[in-house]
Amino acid sequence: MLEVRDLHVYYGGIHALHGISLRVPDGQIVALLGANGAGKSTTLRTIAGIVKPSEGDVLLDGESLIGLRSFEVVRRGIAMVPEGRRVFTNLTVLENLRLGAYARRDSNQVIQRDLQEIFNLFPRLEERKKQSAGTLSGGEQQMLALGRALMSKPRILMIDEPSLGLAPVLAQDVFEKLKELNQAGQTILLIEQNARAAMSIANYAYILETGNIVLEGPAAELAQQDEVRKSYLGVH
Amino acid sequence: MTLSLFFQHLANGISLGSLYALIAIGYTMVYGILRLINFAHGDIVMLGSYIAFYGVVMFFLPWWVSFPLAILLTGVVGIIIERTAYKPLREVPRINLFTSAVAVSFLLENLGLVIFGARPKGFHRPPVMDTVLYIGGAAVVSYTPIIILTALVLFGGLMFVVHRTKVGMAMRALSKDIETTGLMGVNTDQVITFSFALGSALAAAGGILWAIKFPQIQPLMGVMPGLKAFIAAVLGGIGDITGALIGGFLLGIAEIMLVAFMPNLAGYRDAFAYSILILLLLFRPTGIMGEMEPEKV
Ligand SMILES: Nc1ncnc2c1ncn2[C@@H]1O[C@H](COP(=O)(O)OP(=O)(O)OP(=O)(O)O)[C@@H](O)[C@H]1O
Ligand SMILES: [Mg+2]
Repeated sequence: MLEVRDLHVYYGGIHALHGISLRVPDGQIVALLGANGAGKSTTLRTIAGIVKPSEGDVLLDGESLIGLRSFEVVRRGIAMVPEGRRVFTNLTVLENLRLGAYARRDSNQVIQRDLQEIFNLFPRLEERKKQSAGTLSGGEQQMLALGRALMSKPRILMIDEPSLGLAPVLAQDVFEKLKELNQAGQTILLIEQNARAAMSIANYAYILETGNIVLEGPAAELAQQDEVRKSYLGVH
Repeated sequence: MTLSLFFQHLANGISLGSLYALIAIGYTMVYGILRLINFAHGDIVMLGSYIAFYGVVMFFLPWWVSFPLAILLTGVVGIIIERTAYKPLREVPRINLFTSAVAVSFLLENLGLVIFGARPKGFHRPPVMDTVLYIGGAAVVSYTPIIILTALVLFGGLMFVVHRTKVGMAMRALSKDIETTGLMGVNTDQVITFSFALGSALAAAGGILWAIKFPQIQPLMGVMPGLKAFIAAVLGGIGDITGALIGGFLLGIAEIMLVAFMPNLAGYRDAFAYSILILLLLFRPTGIMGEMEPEKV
């Protein structure tokens, strides 16, 4: 289980996270929702070791990850799909995926098998594996970013706004894949602005407002609450 | 001009170009990864040739031990410089990093003056590199083909590392996006250090070959090749390794041909190189291989 305790983050003078706490139990999809600038990406980036918190703790199975650099956090089993996908456009699709497995000590055979699994999940990537990642469409790049993160065989997969910039149909596709992955046992921490889609696949959800968690609960219950329906699901 | 004379000039241009290319690679790799013009890179060239020189005259090593050893040791010096002068400054404004590079350059040059002395030293060409060969009627001294072949072997090795190995893949990823490369489980500091070592080692090889071609070394000898190689790197599209090779060869050949065909312009040889730089910056600022990509913000 991944646990965040009382996390405070400052960017210079800006207090971006005001002591947030959350838990991501094994095997679940946990959604972190909120408006622009609420601090969602900051939370993920802090867990990933990119941003250093001023206070608080991040624990993976009770062991603190604070102070680890981002490559060490990945090696502990937490992978992240960053906001805006950020695939390596100067590498081929295959190289992007292999880079995802960079830190693994497994034999080439095992990695080859996992690659095939990714290709089964995203057949488009296999068709384009020799192509430069820069030539992929936005949706394909999102698949690649997801596949790349999965290649590290993460215990916990963190995804920052997978639906960003995707047509609704494609976004729906991505959510289906996430659900599929979760059913196969993948633990997921999901950030989304599209709260409706996220709640439809999540077990549990947290709602972040200007650096504070203002609401939390099982996703199905949360989706019934009036405030949530008004502010986040666009129901009036 | 006879054909054989033309080929002699061409060989000369290619060998000079391969030296520029060897040095240009270090500029371009460091720029590609850190967006830093490593001002001290030319002085690394000097250091490489001095270490090779002292290996032979002071430690009586055979050249085939001393030269590779000098390349290795210069690579280590590259690591030390990166760790002490550049790495601590990675989070501060880039101008500080650049200033630090200028400081390292002056430091190396002045250390050179103090330790090696200002007086030029004669670099002994190994005898195998100093025999006259007749190739198709043209007379060349053996160092010319040896320089070209050595450079080609090193380029081949470099291309292998960059395009066929795991660390090479990480280097290419790093040049695009350091933060995301870290998210792939890559120890980015290690890869950056490795790039410095590689660039410095190639510069040392360039310095040794330079000293074989122009067998006199002195503490400021790296300045001019450094500047020319920098021009070559910009010419090819800074940040792009293939571009650095192309830029190096083009500049070397162009310089020699200018002097060969217009001997009365020989004095303008260096001015010519700088004119190329200025024209390039005006008309194609991204160089030959550079992508026309807006600067990342
Ligand atoms: N590098 C930074 N430097 C300064 N302030 C930052 C930085 N990154 C984020 N912030 C600020 O921190 C706050 C939280 O930003 P964050 O990116 O975490 O929001 P978010 O919830 O991910 O928003 P979005 O949905 O738009 O991606 C914002 O006020 C933002 O302006
Ligand atoms: Mg965000």
